[in-house]
Amino acid sequence: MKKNKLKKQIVITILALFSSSLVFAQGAAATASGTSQANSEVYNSLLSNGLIFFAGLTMLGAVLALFHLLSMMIKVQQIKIYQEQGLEAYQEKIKESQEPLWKRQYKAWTNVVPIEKENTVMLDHNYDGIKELDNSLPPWWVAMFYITIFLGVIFFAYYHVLGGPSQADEYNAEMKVAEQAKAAFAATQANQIDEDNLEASTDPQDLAIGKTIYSTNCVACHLANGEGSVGPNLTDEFWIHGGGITNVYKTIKNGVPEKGMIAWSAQLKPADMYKVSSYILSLQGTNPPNAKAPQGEKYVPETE
Amino acid sequence: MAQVETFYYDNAIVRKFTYATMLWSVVGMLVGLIAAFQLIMPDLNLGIPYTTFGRIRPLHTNAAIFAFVGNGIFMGVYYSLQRLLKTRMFSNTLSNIHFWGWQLIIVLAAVTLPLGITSSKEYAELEWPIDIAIALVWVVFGINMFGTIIKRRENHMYVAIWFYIATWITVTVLHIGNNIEIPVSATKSYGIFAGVQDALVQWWYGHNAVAFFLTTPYLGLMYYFLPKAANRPVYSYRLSIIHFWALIFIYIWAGPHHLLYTSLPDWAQSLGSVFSIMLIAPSWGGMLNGLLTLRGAWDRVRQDPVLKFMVVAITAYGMATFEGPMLSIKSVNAISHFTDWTIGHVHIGTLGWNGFLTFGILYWLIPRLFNTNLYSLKLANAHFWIGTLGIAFYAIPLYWAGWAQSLMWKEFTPDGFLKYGNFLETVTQIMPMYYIRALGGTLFFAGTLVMIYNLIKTIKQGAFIGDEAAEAPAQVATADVHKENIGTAGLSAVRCKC
Amino acid sequence: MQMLILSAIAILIGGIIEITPMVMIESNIPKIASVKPYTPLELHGRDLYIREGCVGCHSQMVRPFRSETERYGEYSKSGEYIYDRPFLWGSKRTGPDLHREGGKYPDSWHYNHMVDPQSMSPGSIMPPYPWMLRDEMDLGTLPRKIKVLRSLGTPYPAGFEDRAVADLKEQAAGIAARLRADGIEDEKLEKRDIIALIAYLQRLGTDIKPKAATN
Repeated sequence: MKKNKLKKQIVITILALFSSSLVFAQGAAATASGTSQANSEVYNSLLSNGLIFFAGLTMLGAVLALFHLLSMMIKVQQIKIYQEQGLEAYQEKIKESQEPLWKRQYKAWTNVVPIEKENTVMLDHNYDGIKELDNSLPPWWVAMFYITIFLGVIFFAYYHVLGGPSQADEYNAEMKVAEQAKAAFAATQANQIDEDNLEASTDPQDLAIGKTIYSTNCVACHLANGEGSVGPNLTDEFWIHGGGITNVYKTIKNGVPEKGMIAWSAQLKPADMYKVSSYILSLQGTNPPNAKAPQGEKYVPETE
Repeated sequence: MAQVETFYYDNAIVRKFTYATMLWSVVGMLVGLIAAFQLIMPDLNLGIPYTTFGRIRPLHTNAAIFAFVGNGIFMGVYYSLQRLLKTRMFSNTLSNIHFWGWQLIIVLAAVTLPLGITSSKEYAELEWPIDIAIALVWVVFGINMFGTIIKRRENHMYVAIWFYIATWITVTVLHIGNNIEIPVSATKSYGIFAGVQDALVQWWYGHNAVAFFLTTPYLGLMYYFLPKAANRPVYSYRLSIIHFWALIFIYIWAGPHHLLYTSLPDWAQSLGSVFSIMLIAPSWGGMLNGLLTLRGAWDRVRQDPVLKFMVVAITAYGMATFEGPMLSIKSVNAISHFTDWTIGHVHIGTLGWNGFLTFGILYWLIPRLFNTNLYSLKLANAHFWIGTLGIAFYAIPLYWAGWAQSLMWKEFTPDGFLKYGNFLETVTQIMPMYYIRALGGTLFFAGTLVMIYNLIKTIKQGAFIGDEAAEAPAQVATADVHKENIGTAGLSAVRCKC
Repeated sequence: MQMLILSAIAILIGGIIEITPMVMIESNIPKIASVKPYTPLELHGRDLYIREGCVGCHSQMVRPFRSETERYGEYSKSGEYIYDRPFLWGSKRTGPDLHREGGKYPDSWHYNHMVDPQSMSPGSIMPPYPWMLRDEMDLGTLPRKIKVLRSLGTPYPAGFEDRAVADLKEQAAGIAARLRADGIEDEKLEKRDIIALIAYLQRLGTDIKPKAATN
């Protein structure tokens, strides 16, 4: 009687699984037909989905078979209890097996002796009045321990036996992806700076942005008005690495590492370096107080 | 039946360590609070070299770990060991050498660290002369403990004592291993390990300082004081055996998880990660045995501040020991490492687990030492809530700050630049979190002051008995009985696991 | 007692398996030929860095992530640390990583930054270190330091301890001259602690030539 019920359940589950996978396949087909190119992709995804589905089915079958086996063993156990311990114990067991599933599961996973019966597991220990019970290890805890050990072994095997990526490999892969993304993005951008053919901007908006960049990044060494302290004075006509927009831009971009001027190309985009260069040139001749003495050579723009 | 003997427990030494615990709790937390405020007010060192953050931070960690928790351990051990073994401590002299020696070391630390005399290895900052003093005092403690164990009247050793023993031996090994150094002068030395090797040895030590100074001895204390306070039997003897051995075996491997994605060779990093993951269950074994021991006493947890503190402590322990393994997963660590997340995590452990368990023990122990009742249950309850709020206000902003800052560090613009190229931007962004953290710290500290007041009042209204009389039958059996017992119990537990 | 022995065994296994190979097997830490021991001045600076607890806020470990190599420079290699006693990788970055700090800023930037960090990095939460500018270097133990380090395996040539102070003064003079050129005035500049600290900071991470940041 109970067996029949089980069979019915199996059939229903299988049907349900089938129908859901059909719906899924339809969905996949619908999205696939939307895109024109990828016939082989659809085929591949159908194939892999199918494989996963059949693997799932097999596993489900196996689980059901195991479940069946288990319930049979429980029955045998119950009969044995009846034979060995009499009717009362048998009835108790039956009552237990009729409890709702979650309650049985809860009991199975915690496997604890109820407080009322704890005397049955009380050990003959007494340490300064402290007694000890001998409850079994909570099965969920044991399962967790096994799972973590299993995961640990897998983790170690993946990285050190099966040739998983080392951290240097991971880094190289990350950089490669970043390079590609950067190149792809750059291709969509029009505002590339032609370094050899620059003209200082006088657009107030550009200069305002340039000023903001200047005050977050440059003031530490060149001070707020470009009068210079650690770095040289930027307001006079004397330049160590050449004046004019092209030279200033290049000095900012590549830096002068031996003198402490860092290369800003890693932190500022070309457009921003251009704007800050323009801003710096706009400071020419402002004569701020306490300016640093001139350094370098007087710059005379080349005339053609 | 053996003859019943009368003997006296040494409560005087317990009282000394109790006072020391109370004193250093205030000092350790106060220094931490100053450090927290220095992060929001950089000028708070008042222009003095000795009070800069760089020198105050190790002072805070050392005071909190070795002074506050250290004295807490000794307080609990000296109280419980005598009672669990039904005997007085082995030697009064050794007890006192231990006590005064340890306090001397703390004072030396409090002087040398602000002076900048440091080896700079975390939790092992003290220079070589103090290291030697620590080793000597630790050996004195060991002789005293094992002497007591040898002359016991109880055949079996309770689980708390296993934890004490494991603590003693491991701290000995760690302390020596991490402090092998060649002196240059009385205040300066260079260690024999360099670079990567030094890093590995340091974190083998550093991680296990957490494990065997903040965790195992406190689990031992939990196994004594929790069932005592709750008046309930320990949940599972089998669980204690399994989780004890699993814990001490696995813990020692996990050190390299402090060095993920560094220059440490990959294989060592992986060992650290793997063993940290495996550590969840053994750690939780302690938590389960603690919480499940309270079965049937939960109604009292609601009223009794002692139990309340203990429950939160054990919960915090469970949270921290779950979070720890999570932080050891490489991808999570890539986010959390070097950020305030780590600081938040550590403080769940120290404020929650060590702090609250110590408070619970103090509230339970002092009325018993002084034969009286707690001065005010109301104040104790107030302390509980202030403290819990303090932990929340401390940890949550730091988790937030850690996440926020890490994401900012890693954020790129589409054209391939760091969005926050200036490191400082990521600091100013999290300043509000530092303010809230300082508030949390203040709350926790205020709670501690409330406790100190309450305890002093309790002490004043009670009457202290230095030598408490007790009776027990003389030890009948030999060590064989105990050997057999541990062996078979261990075996049967293994069998049952299947 | 049995308990003691068993727990000792249990805790020793893990440590031994991890530490022994790291110390014994050289391939774990590939040597880098260009990595040289610290000069006496840098060593003194390093010990000041240790004394002040800089490691509490500054790491010295660039991890192999794009976000770190873009910010700090080439990621850190194990062979770069072989003369670091103790290691100073740190565990918290309240401030930025410093392993590739060398050469990033001019000497005078560091000088001014120690006087008042906010002047160079507005909004910084680093405290000022004026005593670095005031205190003169205490070189009493320098020769002994060199000797101890050599006994531990740092390849200082024989007799170097006797030349160490002279070597230090020579390097200090160079830094002091550069600072003076940037307008810093102090008669005893070459004797101050700050010179050693700057020497150390400028040395950091420069042993292996950093990849050029330009593309």
